[in-house]
Amino acid sequence: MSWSGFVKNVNRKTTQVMMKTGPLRHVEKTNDRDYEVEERRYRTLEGAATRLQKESKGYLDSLRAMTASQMRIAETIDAFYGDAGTRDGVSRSYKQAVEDLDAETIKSLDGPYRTTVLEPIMRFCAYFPDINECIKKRNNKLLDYDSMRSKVKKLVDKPDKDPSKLPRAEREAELAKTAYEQLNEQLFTELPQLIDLRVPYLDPSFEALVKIQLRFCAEAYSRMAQVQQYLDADTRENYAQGHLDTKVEQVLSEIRDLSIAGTV
Amino acid sequence: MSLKGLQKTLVRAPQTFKQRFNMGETTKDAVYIDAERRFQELETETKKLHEESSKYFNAINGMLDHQIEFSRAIKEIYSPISGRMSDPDSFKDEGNQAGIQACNEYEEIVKELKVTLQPELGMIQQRVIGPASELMEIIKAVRKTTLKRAHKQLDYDRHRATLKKIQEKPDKSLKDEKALFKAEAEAEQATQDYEYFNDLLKDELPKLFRLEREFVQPLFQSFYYMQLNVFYTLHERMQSIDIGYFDLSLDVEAAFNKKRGDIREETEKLTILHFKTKGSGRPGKPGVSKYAAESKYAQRRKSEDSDRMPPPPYSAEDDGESTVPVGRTRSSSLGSPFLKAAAAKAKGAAPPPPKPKPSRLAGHSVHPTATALYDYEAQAEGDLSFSAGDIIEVTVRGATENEWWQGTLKGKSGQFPGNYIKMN
Repeated sequence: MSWSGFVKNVNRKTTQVMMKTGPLRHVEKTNDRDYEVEERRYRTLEGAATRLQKESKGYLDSLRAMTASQMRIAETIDAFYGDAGTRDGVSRSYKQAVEDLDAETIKSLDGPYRTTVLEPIMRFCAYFPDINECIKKRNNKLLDYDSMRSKVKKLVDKPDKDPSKLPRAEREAELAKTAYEQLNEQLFTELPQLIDLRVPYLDPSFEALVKIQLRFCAEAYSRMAQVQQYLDADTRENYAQGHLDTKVEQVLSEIRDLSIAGTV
Repeated sequence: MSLKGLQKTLVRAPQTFKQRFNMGETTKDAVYIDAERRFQELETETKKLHEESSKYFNAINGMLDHQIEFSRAIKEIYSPISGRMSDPDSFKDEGNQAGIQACNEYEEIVKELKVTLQPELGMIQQRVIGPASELMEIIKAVRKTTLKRAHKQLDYDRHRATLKKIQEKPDKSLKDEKALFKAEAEAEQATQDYEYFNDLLKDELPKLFRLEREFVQPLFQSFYYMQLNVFYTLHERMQSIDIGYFDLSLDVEAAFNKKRGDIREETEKLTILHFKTKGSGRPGKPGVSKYAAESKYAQRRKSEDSDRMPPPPYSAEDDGESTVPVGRTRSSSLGSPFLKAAAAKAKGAAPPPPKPKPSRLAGHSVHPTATALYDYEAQAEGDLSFSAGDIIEVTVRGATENEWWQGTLKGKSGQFPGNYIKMN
């Protein structure tokens, strides 16, 4: 922090303390209720948009995690089958389907997802730091103004020996007031505008998200369904009847019966 | 480790050492070594299968959760925002009722989907992850057996080495004979132990491999069908999504652009969004020490510009200037948004982007051009990148050179800081 910034900071802290302490409240605090309402509305918007950003990123991440695990499962299964020689081609075709899903479907949806969902939301959220900075500055200016005003008041109540002090303080108060009002006005007119724009701004992303999901589900299903042709016709039946699980259990117990599996 | 285990480790230590440094004789069984290698592969693959299937399970769940949360968050965006939550009258109907409706419908569908998928996902948990972790346990036990075999082999080598040493002694004393007898017995015992484990593993590891394949096949088939079912349900449910709010006939991006329009540009006209970036000085502003050689140039440019530039907004408002003369000097030190704000205040409206002075354009059917003084890299979407020396067509001039200007270059248009260029 620069020296002048530091001095300003100390002065403002003093003003804040003066506002809070003393039965007489040494410094009167200005309240702009209308502005405060707008600021609270803005805070609500900020919270909602930040959450939206988090969720939109989370969705993409879990989608990616899903296909990534699918790929690794496919590799593993292919490795198991590999020893036996890929006789039925199931593991190959499964691996292929999963790889396609990752390479083509996800990649082809990745771009649209970024441009229509992720980036607009991120960009919207990127406005907040600037606005917050502006709000902070407005609050600082308000503090300056309040402190200047109280100084003028004090000089009026108890005139100083130096007659030039009062007009100087008055001028400074005027100056602080202008600075404060400029910012206040700016925020007061523009915050509602931003809040009004939020729906048209973010709404298209929702529709895009739903459509991307639709496309993903449709493509994922059709790719996966293709693997079925490599499986025996009765496999499905076996699955539905729970035979496959019985088989798994059975083999598992056989493995367990191996004497090397018991602690010899 | 138990005391007995510790003792064994101590006794084996010299042989372990020898083995590690390839001293003395070490038994090598090629068949076993190959089996061991395969077992190692099996071990890692099983581990992977186990880990990934649970990751998969979590990812699907996470995906649905994020869908629901996204819809909730957007609902919050759609809802009217009031600054006084406790006062029902303060809610103005400025939200998006249709959107909220769509959100509710969507959330309902996804929630239902999650409920429908729950048994399916539970099955993955129970029938794939469960057996896979059981297999993991077994593999761990087998690993223990191989370790035991390695120990027995060590003992075997050790006792044989001792025996050999005594046997090779040229003339044996009575004590040696005793030792020989003992060593023979120990070697015999170790051989039996070692061979038992070695044969057991050689015999049963291949069986394990075979069984594992038998195990993986139905497991994989189950997994595949479960997956297919999950995707089928997802597909079916999402396909039947019938929310009038969404226009499903259009392509994703086309619909997005159509719906979006120029809302972003409109939003970004708000000055408060550029408070930091446009405000009190951008870092690396040219003309400062860094470009010492160019600073003179920049100076000159400034003075030239001030001759040619359209009058800044505040001086156009003469009354505004005279009433707040001090305020102006203060605010100008604070940065341009204040200037704009001052102008806006005087006019009582949001600051319109300063228009180029008509007289400047008179005689120019095309836009005025400017030469880039420095390289500028786009820092946000909508910025115009250029390198020093490029000729840019200026479409919208900022009020001062500290503003963001707009221009086109090589068919692209965008914003750039006005102090990075020099008007031609």
